Amino acid sequence: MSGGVLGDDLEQTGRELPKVSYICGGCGREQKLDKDAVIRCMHCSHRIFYKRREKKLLQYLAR
Amino acid sequence: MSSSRKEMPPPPQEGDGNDFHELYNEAKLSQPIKKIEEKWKLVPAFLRLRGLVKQHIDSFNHFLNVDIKQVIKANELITSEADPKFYMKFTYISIEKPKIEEDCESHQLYPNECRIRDLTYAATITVDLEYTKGDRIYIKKGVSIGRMPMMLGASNCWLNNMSNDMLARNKECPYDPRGYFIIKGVEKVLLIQEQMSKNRIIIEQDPKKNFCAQVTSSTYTTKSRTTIVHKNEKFYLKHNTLAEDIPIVVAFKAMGMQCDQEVAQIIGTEPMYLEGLALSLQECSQLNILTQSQALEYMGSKVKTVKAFGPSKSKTPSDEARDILRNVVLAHIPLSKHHMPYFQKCRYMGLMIRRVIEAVNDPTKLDDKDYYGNKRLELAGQLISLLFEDLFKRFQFDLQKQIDSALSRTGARRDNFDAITCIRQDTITSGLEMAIASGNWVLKRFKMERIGVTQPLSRLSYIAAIGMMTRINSQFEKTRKISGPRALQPSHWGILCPADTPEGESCGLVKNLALTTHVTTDCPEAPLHRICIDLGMEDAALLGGDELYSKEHVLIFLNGQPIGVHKQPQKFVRNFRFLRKRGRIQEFVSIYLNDQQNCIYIASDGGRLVRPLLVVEKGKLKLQQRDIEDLSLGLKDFNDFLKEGLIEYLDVNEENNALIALNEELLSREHTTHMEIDPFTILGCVAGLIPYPHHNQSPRNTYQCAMGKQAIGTCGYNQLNRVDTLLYLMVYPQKPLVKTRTIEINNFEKLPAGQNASVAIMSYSGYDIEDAVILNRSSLDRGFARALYVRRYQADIKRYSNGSADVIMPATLPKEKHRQGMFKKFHALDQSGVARVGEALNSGDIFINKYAPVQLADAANQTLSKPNHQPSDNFEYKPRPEAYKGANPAYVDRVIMTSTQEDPFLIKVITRQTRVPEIGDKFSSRHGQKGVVGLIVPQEDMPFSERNGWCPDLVMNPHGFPSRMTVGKMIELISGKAGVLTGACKYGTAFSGDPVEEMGKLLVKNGYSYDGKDVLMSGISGEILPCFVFSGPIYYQRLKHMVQDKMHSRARGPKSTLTRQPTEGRSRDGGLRLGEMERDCLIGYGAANLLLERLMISSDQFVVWVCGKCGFIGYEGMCSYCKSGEQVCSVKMPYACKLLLQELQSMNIRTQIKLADV
Ligand SMILES: [Zn+2]
Repeated sequence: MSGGVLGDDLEQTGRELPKVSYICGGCGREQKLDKDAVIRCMHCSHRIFYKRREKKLLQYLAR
Repeated sequence: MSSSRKEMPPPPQEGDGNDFHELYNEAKLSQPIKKIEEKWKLVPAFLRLRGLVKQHIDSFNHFLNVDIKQVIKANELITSEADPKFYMKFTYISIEKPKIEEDCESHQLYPNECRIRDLTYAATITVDLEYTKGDRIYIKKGVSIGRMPMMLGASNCWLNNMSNDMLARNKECPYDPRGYFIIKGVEKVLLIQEQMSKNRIIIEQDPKKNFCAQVTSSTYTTKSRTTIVHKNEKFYLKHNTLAEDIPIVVAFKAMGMQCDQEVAQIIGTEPMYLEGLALSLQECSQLNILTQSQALEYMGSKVKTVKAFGPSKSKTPSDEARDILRNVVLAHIPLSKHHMPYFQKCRYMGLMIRRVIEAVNDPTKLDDKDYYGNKRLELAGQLISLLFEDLFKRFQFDLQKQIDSALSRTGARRDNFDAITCIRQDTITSGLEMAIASGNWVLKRFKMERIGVTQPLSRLSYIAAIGMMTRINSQFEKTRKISGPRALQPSHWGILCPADTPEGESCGLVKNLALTTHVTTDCPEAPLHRICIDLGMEDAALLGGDELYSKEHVLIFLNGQPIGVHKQPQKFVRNFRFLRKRGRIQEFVSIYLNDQQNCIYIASDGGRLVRPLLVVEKGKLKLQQRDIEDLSLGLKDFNDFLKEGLIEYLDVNEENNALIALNEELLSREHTTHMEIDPFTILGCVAGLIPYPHHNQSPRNTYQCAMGKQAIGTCGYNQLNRVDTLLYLMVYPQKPLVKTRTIEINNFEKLPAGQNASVAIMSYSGYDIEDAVILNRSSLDRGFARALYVRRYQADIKRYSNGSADVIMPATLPKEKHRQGMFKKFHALDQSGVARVGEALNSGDIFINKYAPVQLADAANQTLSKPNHQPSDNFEYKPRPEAYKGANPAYVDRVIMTSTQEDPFLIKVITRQTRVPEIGDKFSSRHGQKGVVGLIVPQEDMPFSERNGWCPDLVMNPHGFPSRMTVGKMIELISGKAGVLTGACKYGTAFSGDPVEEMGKLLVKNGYSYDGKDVLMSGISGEILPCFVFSGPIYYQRLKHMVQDKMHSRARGPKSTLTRQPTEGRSRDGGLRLGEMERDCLIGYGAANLLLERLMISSDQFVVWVCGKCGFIGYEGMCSYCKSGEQVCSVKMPYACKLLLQELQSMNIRTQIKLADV
């Protein structure tokens, strides 16, 4: 991949992103994690988060 | 032996009242001694008590609860040179349970969190302090001085005594061996280290064949080796602080012995010893050394001049000599407070000389260095203890320096100075962490420099993990060709596994513990000394040489030091053992009588190997059938038997005093003192997986031990929560049909690694030569040997000092949107820039779309001039993505977001692949019979049995048998078949197990041939196969070596920048090397053009311009040396050659190329 992207682009696109929700490893509650957020559960202060399985339809080749 | 299995258990005996009848019932007398049924149950009972890796945990517990306190006690005081009134005293030390403090809140730290978050599983070390501040003494409790990595399962670990339910909640496996550390998320094992025993006299021959007595003294403060050499009929003291060997009599005189008579007496006045000593005495008088001061002066002149540092410069040579004698030579022997401070050292030296004289006269008295009684094992506790003491001293040194500098100030700052503020925690914390993480144990004080002490715990399979925990490393050099230390010794019996050792360079040097071996920890000496005196020992302090060595009594040693004599050795030993059985002495203390040396040795030191044995008295086992029944009912446990004296621990030395029967038949022999619990315990827990190992050729068992650790299976109940870099898991593991007692004991049944394959042993198709196996395609479709390949990738977001940071971006990059080809590789990413869970990744797909900032040149200047200026606009971002590489797609299994103390943002992506066996994948049975898949055949073409439709999963070529002689595999097949037919698992336990005859009978009973052969039909032609086929189930392991990870080819590809030759290795898409030997072939054949094509044209051809006049390399038709282009020609040569010429030139070596027409 050639060339970089200037900071402005990143800044702009970064701000408008919808947050992705994660599941807390401690209490199991869902939490949206901002990219600048501290990784820490608001409810139980646990610091491990698991990404939810995608709801989007995924098709695989069965073998 | 096992025919008795069918007998009814004997009725419980009615106690002692029966003795009378027994005596007069002749029929009963002549009957063989009854066997005790199921006495193997003692082994799981033992392991329940001690655990498979209890030695590690015991050792670390000993450190946590005993040793660390002694370390503190030995280094308790800090004083200051600046202020004589100041002192700081460490009065108490304790270690908490693992906790972590983050953002000012602390919570309990469990191992699983450490694994996921790359943390260290460690607990805070707190001390109680007493120190002065101003004029007052303050006492402060619970001051933290650092963090101690905590061994899992140790007394301060949360998992200790945790219920299975709680373990599951904390995502731990109940069968995990524990006994390892977690350092920055990596599980690390401190391998057991084998060493010569400390503080013992070893008589051996040095390289010059001189007899010598060697002692490695080891105390809390020093470690040194003292040698007494017998050279030219004279004795010399050898030590590495002395530049020259000192005549022994001089050393004696330096230690305060006045006359020759005294010297002679301390060694012994029998003629043999006097004669041996005569020349040494003479030598001393020739040197004209008569007094102590003369001797010290002589010694002082021979002291090695150490590069002086510190205040010791002013010492006179004789002071230095005195210092060495006091503190370094035989450091483990204490000085006495009386008129002759060196008396004990002299006596010990006398003893060493005595032994050497004996060995000179009778070389059989040389000690065997490889004898396992002379070895000690160093475990995690001891190693960490050494390291901790070193770090604690450094910590104190730093503290003292700070205190000194603070106290040398004046005024109020000095008066208000609080020494606690100087305590820095990271010396100890990072020191311990670093050492365990890297495995480098560097202790300057002991001149110890060991590498590879720790290893990451292998989680390939459960057995691999256990196998690692029982591994013993020895300090011998691997390169040496000596066979002695590598050979299997008789003293290894029951202690070390005879089968489990690697092949190749470390064969025999890396060993494994047997199933019931236990490693002792230190046990205090003082009470033992007291007990010896109570048992009638005369204290050695009161005795001279003549009395000590008299034939009328034996000399008693406690941990290598002579402590006294006793007139009735047998009685003393008997009483001592009696007290041990009664629990008055710790069960692991050993005592043994050495008739040859006329000595009794008592050992209570740590690192000895002991194993439990059944006690036999008057030809009968003390253990009764009802005890075993009580054990099965759970009324008693192993400890109860120990307390009742039914079972005893013996170490390697004490075994020499015992006559150990192998089984009940041998019990009736006279003087039998013990019996084996069960012979299968001589094998370790890896070799214990092999069914019928006693029917195999021995190297096959060794091969299986290596392969059992590579088998894909289950690695723990928490395997799907684990975040290891690489994990192989079997999709449908099965427990083996033919099992062993060991399999039941070490939980292999619960965490198996393999499947019971239906095997036909026959030739099929020619794709089965050289150990290849044929697989049934339908079996693969049914899930045979299917495995998961789980891999972890991670990325962190770094923050840089200039204020910039890495960023993770989604796929929508405005500038690249129009380039459709580039866009495809972002398909797995979601809005956060990390792959979605469940997405398929193909080669080249990005799953963490990371960008790293690169500072622009002008921006760099800006930030330099104005460091606090807002910099974010001035960065260009370069893509640093994590992309998937691999021939087959992988699926995103989990995405974990977390933070560590250093990285606020850590992403772990776990991918998963399901791998169906394919041609080239490796399989093995449990008998060292490995093979690759040669062909996958549709079930229609497989042979089958017309009677019941049986069809093999796997076909193995019978040529694998004759040369390998793995009869155990055949018996496994027969037993397995019988087991399938009867619906029960069969046992292939070593030395017992279900006999083939019985299995054959079972086959016949179920309508099969007794020899396991069947009539099969050809799947291809439908005809009956002309031979009967030996067929049945065999437990097969799928090994981790798979073609998918190894296949590699390349036409053109990357070149290395320096040499411009193709890169090396699969991971770099490297070329396939035409090596020296291949080159030799082509030269021999005369294929010059082919050679040229391979080695230059297709590799690193390069055109250089060579000047015909000067021979240097020029440039594009010009010679820069001759400043002309007249005779410059272009020449093709390998770039590597051009590089060589230039490198030589840069070293001022002129290389000249002469040109000629061809
Ligand atoms: Zn939570």
